[in-house]
Order: sequence, then structure tokens, then C-alpha cells
Amino acid sequence: MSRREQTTSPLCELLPWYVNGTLDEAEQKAMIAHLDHCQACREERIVLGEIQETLGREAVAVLPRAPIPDALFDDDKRQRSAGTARHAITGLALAAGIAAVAVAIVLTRGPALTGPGTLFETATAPAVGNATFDYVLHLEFHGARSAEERDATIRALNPESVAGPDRNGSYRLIVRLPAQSMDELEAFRRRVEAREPVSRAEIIAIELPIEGR
Amino acid sequence: MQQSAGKHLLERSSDAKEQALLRAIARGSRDAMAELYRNYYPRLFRFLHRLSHDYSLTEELVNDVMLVVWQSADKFQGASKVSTWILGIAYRQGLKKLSKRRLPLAQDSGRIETPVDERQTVERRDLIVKALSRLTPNHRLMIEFVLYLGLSYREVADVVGCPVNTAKTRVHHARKQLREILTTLGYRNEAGQ
Repeated sequence: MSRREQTTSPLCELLPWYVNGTLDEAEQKAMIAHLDHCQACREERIVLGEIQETLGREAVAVLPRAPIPDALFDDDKRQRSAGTARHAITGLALAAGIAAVAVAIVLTRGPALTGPGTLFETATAPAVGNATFDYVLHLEFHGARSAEERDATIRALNPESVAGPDRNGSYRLIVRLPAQSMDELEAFRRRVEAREPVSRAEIIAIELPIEGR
Repeated sequence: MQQSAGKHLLERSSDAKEQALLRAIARGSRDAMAELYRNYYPRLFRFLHRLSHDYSLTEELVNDVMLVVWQSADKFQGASKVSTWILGIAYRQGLKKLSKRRLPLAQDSGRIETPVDERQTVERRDLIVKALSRLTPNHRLMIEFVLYLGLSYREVADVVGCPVNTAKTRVHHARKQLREILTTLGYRNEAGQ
């Protein structure tokens, strides 16, 4: 069978779902048999696996900074179909407390994250033995500093990954730390913010260690 | 095969409970809306931020999605899971906004020094990230749906609002574009192919 013929098999179309594991049993068996003689699919399977892994590594837990915007409940914006009761809703704020999501806990601090109604806070970061956590650190730099100095500062923090700059000029770093309390995190943040040429540092979320990283 | 990293988007909550929440939202319950919002904001934020890499835009997008949920809860017919319905809204809202702008490069790990034995892997990942950033928003979403969120082809069809065969074709086109971009970038997989 030629490579062109192989890639037109209906089973070739199912390859991404074989990789993500959502095919039913019969489809999986057919795909396994197909892979035995389809070189194009065998090669693409490796690529799709790498893409899947890359996408998984990019996943970062980010929790909300703000409660439901009041505007969402602006009665003027609510245009339900005829017959639905209208309700005047104003000034809703979510109940204060912990917004626990399976893999992440938001850690808010500083004026940038504690505007009116910022209600997702935790009193302490989780303590899990001696585990380290991947913390998401946002950094802003003094505008006049050089790119080299900025890069050296980022590198010195030994991040797991770096993204940025975003359109506001800030960088997102994932840093692995053993910190297990808000005090430890705050101390780390202060040390980072004291560095030149950092102008502002925020820790906004954590991501629990990912197995196999 | 491995469990997709984002699969939890569709699995975290009980659908029956969420359907009850939507019914309450349709009756105008702000408490129900608050609960749904609290459940979905992080998940939607995480997913949409992967596409925009822009916090302000992502916040805006998530609120756009939740506004549609608030306005349209009474239109939910129960034909799909609530999470699929909400992801469908996110798909349409995201596509509308992201189509107007080029998706930015997500990551630049080349900036950081890496041990030699990991360099090739890091370089391949960088090429993949670059290639993903060059996909059209619609193609990027197809790849994210399958390889990040781990949706089945039926779920992709539900989210996109198209027949199953169309969903397969869209993903096929996304794969094709991704392969072409990867080839242009000089990507070779770990087997050197």
C-alpha cells in the first residue's frame, strides 16, 4: 500500500482519538491493526504524542482574581426569551473563602490582586510533606533596563518554563519551590521584588507537581 | 496513549448537579449563577488563556462566556452535558475574538539554559509550540480539544455544533496544517522522522 493510500484510510482520521484514548474498544483494536501496516500513522502517532505532551506541560492552573462582575447581573443586559421572569440583581459578590480547585489554590497578595471584591484567598498554602510545588510567578521589569539584564534575572530564578512578554510586558514563570506557607511565599516574593531590574513580582497560583516532569 | 491534561474540564462536576444549577439560573437564581461561575471560571480561564496568553483578554473572554450562560440558560435543552454546552459557548466566543488577532507565541524556553541531554527535547517542544501558535484559531482549537482536553470525536462535534464526520474532517485539516508548519520549521520527532 502506498503512503498516499494509507493516509486516506478512514482509520487514519481516527488517529488523534487513538492518541487521546477515547476510541471505543472495537475502534482501538482496528487502529492497532492499522498501525501495524501504516507507516504514515505510526510516524504521526509519535508526533501527536509529543504534541499532547507539550500541551500538557503548558497547562498552568490559574484561578480567578475577581468575583462575578456586577455587570454580569445588570438587568439591562439580561435578554431572556419571552416569558422568563426578570430579576433585579445588583451587587452580587461571591461568598468569601477558599475557592478550591482540584489542582490549584490561588494565592492573592498585594494591591494589584486585592482590588474591591477579590475574594478568592487562602490562609495558607497546602502542606504536603516535603513536596515542592510549581508556583506561577508574574514578573514586571523596569522599562529602561536591558534585555540581557532581564534575561539574566529570569535565568537566575531557575524557572521550569518562561512565557512572555505579554502585551503588558510581564513574564510568567513557573518556579519550583518547597514553600508551604504564605509566609514562605511572601518572603520569596519580597526577595524577587528586591532584585534589579524587577519592578513587581506576584505569585498568583500554584500547580501541584506533575508526575514525570 | 495518555490521559489528556485538560480532560478534567469536562469531568470535574456532576452533570446532574450542573443541570440543576442551569435550571435555577434560568429561573434567575444568582446563587446558582455564582456557584456555576465559581466552578467554571478557573477551568475556562485555564483553557482560554492557553489560546490567548493574555490575562486581560482571557478575563474578558471568560466573562463573555459566563454572560452568555446567564442570558441563555433557559435555552439549554439537555442534549449534551452542561460542560460540553459551556465549552461550545467558549469555542464560539473565543473563535470570534481570537480570529481577529494572531495568536501569540506562548513560550520561549530557548531563553533559558538547558542541560545538553534535554536540549533536543526542548527544541522539539519549542518547535511544536511555535507551530501551534501559527495555526489558525479554528485549527488550534481543534488540536486543543483533542490533544489537551481529550474530547472524543462525538464531544468535538457537540462542542462545535456539527456532524461527527465534519468534526473528524476539521481535526484532519488541523493536523494537516500542523504537519505542514512543523515540516517548514524543520521539526523531526524523537524517532528522527
